[in-house]
Amino acid sequence: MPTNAFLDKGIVLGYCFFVDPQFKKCNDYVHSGSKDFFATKQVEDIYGKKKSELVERHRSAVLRHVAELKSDHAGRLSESDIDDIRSGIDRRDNPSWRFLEDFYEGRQGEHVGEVEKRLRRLVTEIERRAEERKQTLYRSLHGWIRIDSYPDLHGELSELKRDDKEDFYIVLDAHDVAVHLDGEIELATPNPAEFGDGGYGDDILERTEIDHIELVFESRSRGDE
Amino acid sequence: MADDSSTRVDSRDLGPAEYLAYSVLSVYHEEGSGELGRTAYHKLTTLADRYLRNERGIDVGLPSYWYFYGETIRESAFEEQIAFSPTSNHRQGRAYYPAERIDESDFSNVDTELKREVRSAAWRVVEEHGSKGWRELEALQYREYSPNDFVASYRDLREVLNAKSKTHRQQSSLSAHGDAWRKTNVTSVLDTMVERFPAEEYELLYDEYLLWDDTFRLLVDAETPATELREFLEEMIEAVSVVYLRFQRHQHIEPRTIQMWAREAREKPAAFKSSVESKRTEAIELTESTGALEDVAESYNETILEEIEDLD
Repeated sequence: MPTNAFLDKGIVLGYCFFVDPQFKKCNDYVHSGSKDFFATKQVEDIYGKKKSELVERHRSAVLRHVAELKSDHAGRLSESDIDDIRSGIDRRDNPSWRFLEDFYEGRQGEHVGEVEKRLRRLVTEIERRAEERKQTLYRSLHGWIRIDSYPDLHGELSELKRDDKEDFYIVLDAHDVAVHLDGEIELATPNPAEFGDGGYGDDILERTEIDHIELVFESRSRGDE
Repeated sequence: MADDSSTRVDSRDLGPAEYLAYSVLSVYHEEGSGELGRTAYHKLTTLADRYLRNERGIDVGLPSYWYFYGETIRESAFEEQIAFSPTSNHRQGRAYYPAERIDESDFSNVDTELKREVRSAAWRVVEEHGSKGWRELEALQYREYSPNDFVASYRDLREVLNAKSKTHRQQSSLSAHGDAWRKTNVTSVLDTMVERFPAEEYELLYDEYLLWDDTFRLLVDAETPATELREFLEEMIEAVSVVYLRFQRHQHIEPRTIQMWAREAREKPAAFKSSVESKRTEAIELTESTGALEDVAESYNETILEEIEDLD
């Protein structure tokens, strides 16, 4: 049973952004109490950067939507107003389309001002939670400084390095902890396609000291589509 | 550029533009209208310049540009030579006077006929507008020469905030009704501003602007003092001025300065965003958690899941 663990960026983002029931899985995993989680400064920076990207993406999308809403509508929103708004949300351009469309369900009769307020609260809620959870997570992380550079692994895992440099560094740091600490170490991920059979998982387990790859929750595997 | 202000001023440096600024200062003080602050001095000079260009067909080469609330002279080009600006006796900022070490004879390079025109323009402007306060002068410039109506509306926000802070000073306790009224006023000006923001033209600042706007609203909800709101407003205006306004409206600015402006403009959006973000973090901490995300839990989780998947 691994006592040490590393989190790939997918898990960190899930932890920072999900609401229940998805959140529960991440939360239970991170706070199980039976594992020590490690991260180097570089890895923490990667987490921070990804979190900010996600926050900004949805924040901009929703705020732009609010600006459009206000210029196109005033007063109470009729059912046809709601239809117009929902159909006006561009699924290709607007990364928040799913929950925006969901948001408008049942809102006919509401005043634009009220809708605006609720949408703004949605934005701040996303930001607040992501920040609070990041702080909580970082408090649970043991800092680690990796000194060795493992040039062999750069070669042996060159495909991973090319396809996802950030995850490559997470793997490198996890390997370093495994080399220097007793006990088993696992890498937590949401993506069986990348780290499971046929993905990089085999290479990682074979060529590094990482003992186990743990699936905390499952993102949709591309093979299903 | 003037280097050592203690040496005798070189007449070659003093041209028609310097003469205009100098004339406005000396005429103003000949009339004895009291202290002349920076904003009023700039407005009077640019008004006189506009009059000369539009009505007399004369361009003295005054270097000016739009910044914040109106046209401003690129002073460093000649300020030290022709003006003396001690700290004001009555208010914040400086009071402007014609430099004592120069006089009419120092402008030997300027054609006599031109001098007459310039002096006459200075007289006209001081006579018509000299007794106006800086706020009135600024409003005048706004009504007639604002680059767009977004610029006009952010000034309105400043005025609402000034009214807010004045009343706070005058009264120790405000009725709940009074506060609500002021909050509504601020919000409605913000709404107008968003509507008027030239999203396509000011593309580099659009997202940052919306972020600033939302953050401003959070600060208003949190009963942030008007002076702090005012500072936050000015950060936005500075960003708009640096990235767009001074390029839209300028004359007789040397290429090297334009290049410097261009450098500053490239760096500004990121700096502005970063400063809004830090204010925003403070503001969000003051708000309370709501169930907003739970209402759309399934669709939201699905979105996040997809984005996590797309990482790989």
